Amino acid sequence: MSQFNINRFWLTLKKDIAENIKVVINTILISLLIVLVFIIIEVVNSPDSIIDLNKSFRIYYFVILVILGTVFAGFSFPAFRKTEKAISYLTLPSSTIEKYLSYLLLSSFGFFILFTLMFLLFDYVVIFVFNLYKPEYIQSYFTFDSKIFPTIISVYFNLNALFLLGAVVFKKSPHFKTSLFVLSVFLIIFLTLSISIYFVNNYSLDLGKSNMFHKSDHLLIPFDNTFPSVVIKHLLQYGLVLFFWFVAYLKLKEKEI
Amino acid sequence: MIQVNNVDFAYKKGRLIFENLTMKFEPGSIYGLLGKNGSGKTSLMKLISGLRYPKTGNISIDGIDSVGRSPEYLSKYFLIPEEFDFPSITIESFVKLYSPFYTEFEFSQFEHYLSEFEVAQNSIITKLSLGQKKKFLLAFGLSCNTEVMLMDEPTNGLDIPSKVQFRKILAGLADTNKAFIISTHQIKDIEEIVDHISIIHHGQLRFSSAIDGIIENLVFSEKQEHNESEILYEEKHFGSTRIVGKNIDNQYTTVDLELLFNAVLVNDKKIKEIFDKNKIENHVTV
Repeated sequence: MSQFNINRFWLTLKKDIAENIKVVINTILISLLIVLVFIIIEVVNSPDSIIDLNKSFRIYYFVILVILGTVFAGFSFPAFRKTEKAISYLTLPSSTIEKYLSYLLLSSFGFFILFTLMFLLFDYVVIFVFNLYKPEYIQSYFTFDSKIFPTIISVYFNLNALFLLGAVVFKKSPHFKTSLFVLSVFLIIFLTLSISIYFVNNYSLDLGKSNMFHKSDHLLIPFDNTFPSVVIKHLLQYGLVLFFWFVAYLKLKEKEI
Repeated sequence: MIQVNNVDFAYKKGRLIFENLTMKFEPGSIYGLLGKNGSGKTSLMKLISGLRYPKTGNISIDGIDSVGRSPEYLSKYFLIPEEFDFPSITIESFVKLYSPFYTEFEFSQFEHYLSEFEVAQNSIITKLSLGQKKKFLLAFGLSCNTEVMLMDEPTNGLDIPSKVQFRKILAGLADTNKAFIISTHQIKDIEEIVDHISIIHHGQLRFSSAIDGIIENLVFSEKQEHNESEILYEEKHFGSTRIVGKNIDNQYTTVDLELLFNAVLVNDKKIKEIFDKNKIENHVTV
């Protein structure tokens, strides 16, 4: 019996979808209702001529995708929050890779696709209704900003993968503990860098004034469209994602109850 | 066959639960795994089911190692844990989602057990009482027809008619080519159905024998019927004194598991000597 069997994987995925889909859909619907309230407030309070709903929708899309995506990733493997559930989850006859891929698909790709589709539908309905009642200020339907979209995807997958790892590692309060861990790591890196720079160059690091993050001509690695540059750029964007996914799999494999 | 080979196990470093534990469980038997609270029964169940890994040694079912929890290993057994939690779905949906993982699952068998336990098939599992949930899990587990059934305190939470039903069902499965391992401290609940007794104390296997072997080697009776020199253990019981003695004149008495359990805790070395002397097979002790 191999470690990966497509039929068994499908059974695992089907089971995980059946057990989680209601919560996911309900949460997306609630968040879209909240967006609707914000949109209504915006429409009511703004002079018609300066309303740009497309811009607002893009911001809402990004914010909700990242926040909900992170939350759902942190809620992955819900069985591990309770020992009794974890026992039946871990003793179910499917392999660790099948169990892992099932949640990876659900919380990363599945959520992304489902949320995007529901958001597009929501946008279509809202804009359609708006245009019906305010034909003099026609609003365009949601489109992805090709400049910013890759960054959104990168942020989404990096956070998602990090919190997926947290969901495997931490039994209680995975969101809080993962956030705390990340903040601690950033703080340590920042302090180490600051102290090193101070002692080596007698220079204090002031991120606010640094050009490093603001102007592309001051970037440490100048990206162009050559093949090595593209590879390095994508590695920087998604390298950590792959790393977190791999570590989460290893942690799941050695999980004991 | 389940093989536990030289297993050392500890939850925390330096505090060993099992030290060099070796035992085996053969198919076609119902094993009663007895021990006080905290003796290591549940830990052994976790080790066999791959929920915990041994520090040294190994555990295998039909030669497949528990470490790694391969699907092949996981499909060899079904675990009825002492405490459990279910998704908020109906029994029907649960069966649809979970039974395909067990290739030998028999739906007609499941329906039969459910009706024996008087559990309605259209119930939402989370809305059932604790006893009802346990009966559902027992029905599902037994219908999976795995080679090994691991049951941790299976009668906890069952009412008296359900306990009778449980014993009846298990007795009916006794001759099949499966191994049932029932871990419990409620000895009376399993007295009539087990055909092998293993006693764990302080993380060590103090006694292990088939019921037939126990009957051949030991007698369980009132004190006056026996000579002092043959008594291995005695305890007062409602005005009379019950004893466990060496069976020297081929008397065949009914095994009193409670008495045997206490006798092993007090005098396991002497009992081991008797069994070793008579060269009873399958006897494993420290």
